[in-house]
Amino acid sequence: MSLSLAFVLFLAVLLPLYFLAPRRGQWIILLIGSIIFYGFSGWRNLCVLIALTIIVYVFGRLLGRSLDRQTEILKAHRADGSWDKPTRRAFRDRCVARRKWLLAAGVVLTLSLLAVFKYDSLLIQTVNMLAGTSYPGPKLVVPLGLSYVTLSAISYMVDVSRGQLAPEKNLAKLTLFIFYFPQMWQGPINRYDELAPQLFAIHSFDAPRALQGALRALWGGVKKVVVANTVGLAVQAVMQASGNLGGTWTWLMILLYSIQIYADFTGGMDIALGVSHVLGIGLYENFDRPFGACSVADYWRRWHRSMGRFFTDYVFYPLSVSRLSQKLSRLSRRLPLWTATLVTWALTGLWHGAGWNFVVWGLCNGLFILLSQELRPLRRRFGEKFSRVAASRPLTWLCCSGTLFTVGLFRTLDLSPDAGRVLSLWGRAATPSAVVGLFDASLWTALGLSIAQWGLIALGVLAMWLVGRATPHVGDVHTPSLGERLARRPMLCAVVCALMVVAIVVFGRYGLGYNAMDFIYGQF
Amino acid sequence: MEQKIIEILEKMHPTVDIKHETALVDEGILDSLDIVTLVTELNAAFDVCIPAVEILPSNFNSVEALATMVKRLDDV
Amino acid sequence: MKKTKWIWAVLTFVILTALLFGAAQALLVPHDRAANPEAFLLQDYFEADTAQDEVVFVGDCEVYEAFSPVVLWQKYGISSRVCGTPQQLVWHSYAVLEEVFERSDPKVIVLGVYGLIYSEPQSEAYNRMVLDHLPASSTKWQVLSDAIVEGESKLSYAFPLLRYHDRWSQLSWQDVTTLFSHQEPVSVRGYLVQNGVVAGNAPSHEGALPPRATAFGEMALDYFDRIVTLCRDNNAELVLIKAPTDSWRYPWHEEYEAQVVALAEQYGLPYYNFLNEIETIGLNYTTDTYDAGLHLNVYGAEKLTAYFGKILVENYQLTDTRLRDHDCVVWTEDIARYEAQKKEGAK
Repeated sequence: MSLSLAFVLFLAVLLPLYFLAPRRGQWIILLIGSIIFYGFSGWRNLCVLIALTIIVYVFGRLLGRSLDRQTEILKAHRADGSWDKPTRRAFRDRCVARRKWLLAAGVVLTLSLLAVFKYDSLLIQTVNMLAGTSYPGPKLVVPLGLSYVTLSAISYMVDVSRGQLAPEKNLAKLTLFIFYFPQMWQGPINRYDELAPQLFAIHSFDAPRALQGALRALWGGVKKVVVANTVGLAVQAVMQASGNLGGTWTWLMILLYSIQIYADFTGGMDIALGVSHVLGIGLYENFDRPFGACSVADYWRRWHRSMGRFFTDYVFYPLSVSRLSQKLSRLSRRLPLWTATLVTWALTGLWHGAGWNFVVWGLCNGLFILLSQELRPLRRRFGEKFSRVAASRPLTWLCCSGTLFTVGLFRTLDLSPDAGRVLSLWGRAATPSAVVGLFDASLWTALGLSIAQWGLIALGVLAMWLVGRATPHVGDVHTPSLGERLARRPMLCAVVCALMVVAIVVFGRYGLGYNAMDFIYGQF
Repeated sequence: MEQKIIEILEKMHPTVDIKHETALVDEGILDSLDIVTLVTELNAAFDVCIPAVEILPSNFNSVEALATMVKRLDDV
Repeated sequence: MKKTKWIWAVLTFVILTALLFGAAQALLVPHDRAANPEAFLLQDYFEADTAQDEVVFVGDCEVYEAFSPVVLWQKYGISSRVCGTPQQLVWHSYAVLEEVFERSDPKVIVLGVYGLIYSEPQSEAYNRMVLDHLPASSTKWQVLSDAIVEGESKLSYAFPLLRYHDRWSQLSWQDVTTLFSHQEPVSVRGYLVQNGVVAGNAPSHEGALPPRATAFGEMALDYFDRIVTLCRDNNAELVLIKAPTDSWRYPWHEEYEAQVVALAEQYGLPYYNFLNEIETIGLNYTTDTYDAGLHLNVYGAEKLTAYFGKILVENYQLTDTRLRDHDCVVWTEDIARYEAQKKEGAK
């Protein structure tokens, strides 16, 4: 809470300064504010992020210069005709190859920062496991937001090397792109061509816009501090009791952990996007009503979209159309697709967390998506034969809940580094006793939450569902968002905001938990 | 060439009116897996090498755009 | 005008938030005194008219279970009050005394010395029992920095809802009714009446823990020094006492005694260790304690108070307020409650 309070105070200072600053200086206020904000997380973190910024800047400039020189020389030689076409092509290929190496160096350097801080213990563990050694693992704490910012940085360098983006010449501007504070907790992963024009544009204060942003940020706070943290208690309890829950563990976790992660992650995004919206800067929508997805592939187009987009554009496509992949296609036309998908998902898993269980999680998702892709003709035939059933509502619902179940099941792999144990618990979940155990009232009371707290969770889920339903799909420009509709009635908004603030304060889980027994007089 | 592209696409999505569709990517008819399948098929059929840089919605939205891209890459 | 509409909205938000916050705070911060009397001892002090107090006791349970102001008044006419709370440490006592001198002009301050043995924060709950009741001041804020244990937030002492909000799920109807009903003070002038009798042996050190440290800690000594200065600046005499009780597990070690004696000498303060006077006072550990020797019950406290009162009147210029009409009225109420509480539990 004290952290969130510090954030509120930070905003209370930054926002007035931002809107009162001379127009051309607005982005500088934002830059200074973002650096100060990041500085609060520690000097070490600040140094890491500055190092990252410098790497990205230098490689961006180098890549841009190489591209400029190539164009210049080719143009000159084409004009005076001193080089024939093959010579020109050979020169171009040489330049492209050099840029590839340059880009690779930049990406490796960027990733090495992440490797040192995020994957140190995994690397050491793996070495110990393979070689039977026992080096102690230095557990460094990952600098705030580094996972997200690293991907944003890579996308910037790749875009520059492809010639799709002019490199930023102003180091300060690039620094703001890396340091922009709302993205620091949970992303989204940004693209320079989308974010930069907004960062450096002039924004004057706009009351309805600010109200929309505030509503969204507060709603995010409710989701995160109230719903996610309260469910988190139950998740923790289930985690601790995993030994004697058997297969029921899996069912409970699919249910509870799905609620927790949804409330936490979408809540975090609502805060980031809401705050950014107040400033007039639109960040990439990371979620598109993800729990309404009707297939796993569809789910991954709606959940954590900025990450999905990154891995599709910068890992999956390059891998699948690479020369090596295309050579594989001679063996089988499906081979490039399969290898690229599985490698991409393994990397996605590794990015989510430094543990082999995350790789298993990624591979599960990849395999499931590939299999359903291969089964598409079968599904189509079913649709042709039973068109009435295929288009019916119950079947859609079945697909949706099946998807929720599947991603929820895969997600339980997050919870324990011992993937083998989780997989065995999946197996035990299929037994009748595991399902029956779910309806045992004593199980629910044993999780340590009061009836009031379960009621609060239920209420939170209901509210999230209603708000989700009222939220238009991403890209739907015709339907006004819930915030837009509410902001037309400021008085109503004032009441809603007040209620949300007090709800966060009262029902939120933060600080020391209250236990009446602690406060009863002991013997002194 | 267009005919061949239509054939490939129809094999993937028999129910879609490929010939007249102009937003194959934007409307979500082709997902990333389809695009990779398509690239592999196009590479094989026309002996080109479509690089990742070319994978943009504007190049994949219609049969016409696809044909233009393949021709351009074949030309260089 | 459109602009006024926005101003109204912002105003509504601010006022409504404050109102809701205040209401939630009133309801959720524990306020049922009978459920946990020790937590409200200091609230009694701040609700009372304390301007006439001439002797004020500060310290832990060794103080608020050992000295009965009613007896001091009945026997000697001394107007006194106890500001003790569970495990009150030296910095707590200092913060309390600052407030005491704000509200009254006492001639004698009696400090229980047991708190001296602690030089680091001990428990959140006992922090709360003191600091929750102190009004906002720069001293409170500063003492807070030294007093809080890990995980506590200073801000939650300004807005206790931040600490007690979790109680929403344990809320009972009682919390609502007590909010709107008048609640009697839990103590009589800070003295918490305990009329049970659980016999104990005379203090012995068998099976006891060794001393916490060979020397009192820096922070305790620092705040002790500040208390001495504060009293001197306010022309009050500081008297050190050790109550005649020994926890068999956390006993009053000779090492402690030696250091207190040295401190008293260094500052030129009187120090009374009543453990040495048990027989003179007439304490009997089979009848005079309510928890087998850890604390005195009301019968023990009355004996000790009578004994100490004599010391007070002999050594200090205290006013006999029994002759003043106004005081009599105030005291009649306190005495009535005292007698009632004395009888209450004896059934």
